[in-house]
Amino acid sequence: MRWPGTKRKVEALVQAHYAALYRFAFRLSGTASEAEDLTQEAFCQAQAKFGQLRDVHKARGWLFTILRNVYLHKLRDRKTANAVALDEVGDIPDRLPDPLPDIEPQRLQIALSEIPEAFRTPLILFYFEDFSYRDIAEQLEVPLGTVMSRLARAKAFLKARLLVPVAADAARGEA
Amino acid sequence: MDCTTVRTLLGFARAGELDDAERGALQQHLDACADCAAHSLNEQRFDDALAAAMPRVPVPSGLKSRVLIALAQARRPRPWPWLAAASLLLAAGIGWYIWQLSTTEVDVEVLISKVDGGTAATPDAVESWFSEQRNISMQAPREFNFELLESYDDVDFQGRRVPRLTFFSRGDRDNRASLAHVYVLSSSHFHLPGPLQGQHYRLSTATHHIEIRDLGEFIYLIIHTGSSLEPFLRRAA
Repeated sequence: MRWPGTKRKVEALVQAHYAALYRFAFRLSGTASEAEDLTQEAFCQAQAKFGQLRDVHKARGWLFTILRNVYLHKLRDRKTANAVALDEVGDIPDRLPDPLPDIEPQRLQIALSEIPEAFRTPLILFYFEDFSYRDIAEQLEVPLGTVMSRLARAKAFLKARLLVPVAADAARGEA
Repeated sequence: MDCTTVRTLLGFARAGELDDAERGALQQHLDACADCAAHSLNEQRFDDALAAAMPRVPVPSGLKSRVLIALAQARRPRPWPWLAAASLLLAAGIGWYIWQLSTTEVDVEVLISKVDGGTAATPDAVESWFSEQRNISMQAPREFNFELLESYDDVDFQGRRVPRLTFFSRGDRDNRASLAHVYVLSSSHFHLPGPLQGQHYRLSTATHHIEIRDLGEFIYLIIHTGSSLEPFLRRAA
C-alpha cells in the first residue's frame, strides 16, 4: 500500500473521531486501558484497509464497526461470566421521580458491563452516538426488529438497575 | 391507534424515524390517553438521562498523539518479514552451494565426446580409438557387422576398465529389433573357467542371451536380445 494520501486522510479521521471512538470503546470494555488499546487498534486497522471506505461520509459508522469487531475479537477468548440474562429484570416503577436525578457514569458503566454485548452495543450506539435504528441494524448486520427488541430489553434492564433504588429512595422520602 | 402501537412508535419517535402523519397520530393519542402520556414522559426522561450519562467519559490526555504515533509505526515497513526472507535466501544459498560441492557438474563436452566416440564404423577405427583415447589394446570382433555398431566405450567390469561395443539390429528373422553388447576382455587380465567355454546362457528374463568366445589373446563376452547373434554378424559377400 502507498501511504502518502492515506496518511493524510486517516489522520483527518483521527482528528475528527478519536474522542468519540474512545468513549464508545470505554463503554464497551469498561476500562480506560482497554479502551485506549481498542481505539489505537481500530485506527490501525482503518489505515490498513482504508481503500474499503468508499463513502467518506460514512467514516464514523465504519470506524465504529471496526472498533466493535476488534473488541469482539478480543472478547472471544474471554469469559463473560459477569453478563446476566436480561430477563432477570426487577419491577420497574410506573412513575419515575421528578426531576430524575443524574445517572452516575460509574453506575452506568457497572450496569452496562452486566449486559451481554449483543444488547450493549446497540444501546451504546443509540444513546451515545445517536445512531438510527437503521444505522445500527446495518452495522450489526441484524434486522431492524432485532435492533428494536434488543434496545427495549437492554433499556428495561438499565432502568431497573439504575432507577429502582432512586425511585425507592424517593418513595421513602415522601412517606 | 391503540396503546400497544403507540408504545412501539415511541421508540421510533425517539430515533426520529416517524413521518409527519405518524407523529401527528401519535401526539393525538398521547393527548387523549393519560397512561400512554405518562409512559411517554417516563421514557423521554429516562432517554434524556441516559443520553446525557452515556458520553460522560473522560478522554485521556495525549490520546490523539498516541494514536498518531501508533499509525506512524504501523506505516513503517517491518524489518522482520524482510529479515526472515533474507535468512531463508541465505540458508537456501548455502544449502545449494554445499549440494553443488557434493555432486558433479554435468559437462556437455564429455557427452559430445562420448557420442563422437561411437561414430567410427570399422574394426580398425575402433581399435585405434581405444588405443589412443583409452590406452587400451583390444581386438574388435570382426565377424560383427560394424554398420550396426551403435556405440562403444570402456566400462567397469570386475574392477577393470574393459571395452564394450554395442550393436543394434533393426530386425532379425522374427523381424524384431535387438541389441548385442560385446565385452572385450584381455586374457592377460581375465580367464574363463573351463566349463564356460563355448556355452550359451539364457537369462532369467528370457529375453537376453549370453555367449562367450575365447580368441586366445582376448575373450568376447556377448549379451544380446533376439534368438541368435546372426542378425549382428557380417554377411558373406
